[in-house]
Amino acid sequence: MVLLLLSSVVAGVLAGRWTGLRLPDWSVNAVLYVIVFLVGVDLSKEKVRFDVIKKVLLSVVATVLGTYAGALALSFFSPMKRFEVLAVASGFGWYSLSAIIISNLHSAQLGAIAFFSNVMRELFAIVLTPVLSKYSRAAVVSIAGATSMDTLLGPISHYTDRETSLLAFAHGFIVTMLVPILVNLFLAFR
Amino acid sequence: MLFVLILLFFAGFLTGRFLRTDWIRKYRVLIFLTFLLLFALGVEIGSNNDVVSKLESILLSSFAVSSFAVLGSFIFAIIFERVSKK
Repeated sequence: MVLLLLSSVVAGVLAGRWTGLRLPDWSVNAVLYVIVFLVGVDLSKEKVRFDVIKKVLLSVVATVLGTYAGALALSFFSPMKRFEVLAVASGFGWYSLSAIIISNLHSAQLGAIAFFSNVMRELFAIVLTPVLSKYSRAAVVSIAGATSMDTLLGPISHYTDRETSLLAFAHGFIVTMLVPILVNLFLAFR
Repeated sequence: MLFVLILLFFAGFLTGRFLRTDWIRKYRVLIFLTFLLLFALGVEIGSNNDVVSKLESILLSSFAVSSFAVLGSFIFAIIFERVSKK
């Protein structure tokens, strides 16, 4: 699935590069709005149990702090500006949204970095979930970031138990809600 | 933009309760739309000469950010798991 998704980007890049195809400015945003609306519609039928709420909040805090600790450490020896590294890391794996917000509000180049780095985070999660699930279930969920509620929910429920799947869903839900807020926050720091 | 997204999400969340929603999963609507979204995003990247000429450094930066983010999340999740079990 990740390969198919990647190839649609590559197809787009090639089309934009070699065919002179130009889409209207609003097209990316329009599709994104439809997706976000439909994710809301789809989730309205899910029931999240609230007795796992402490575990969920703890794992969200671990994901957010861990991601920023890593990004901050990188920012000391990366040519990128600190707020740029932190804004890109704030995608937590949700590449479509973070890339679009960042290319709208900052630059197409940082938007491209946000896209690829968050796709890579999802790829890391897909590769690491089978390996790490025996060692630490919390780590599997945190690495997945925002994708623990969609793309990674399948692999996580396959390699762990029902409780972890529920945790993964609620965790991904909250992290997903945080993505637009935190990306905007760090872009405001420039 | 952020405001519109949050508004749309909750609009969907509220109206979804009164609608049939099984078609979203049945026909894999979200995946299809994601393909469209990524294609459009790709066209935007590909038609931007500035981005294409720097693709190598962009991929390098992307790899650096993602691996540090994953490593940080891993370490913090392990620490939190150990501490909360005590």
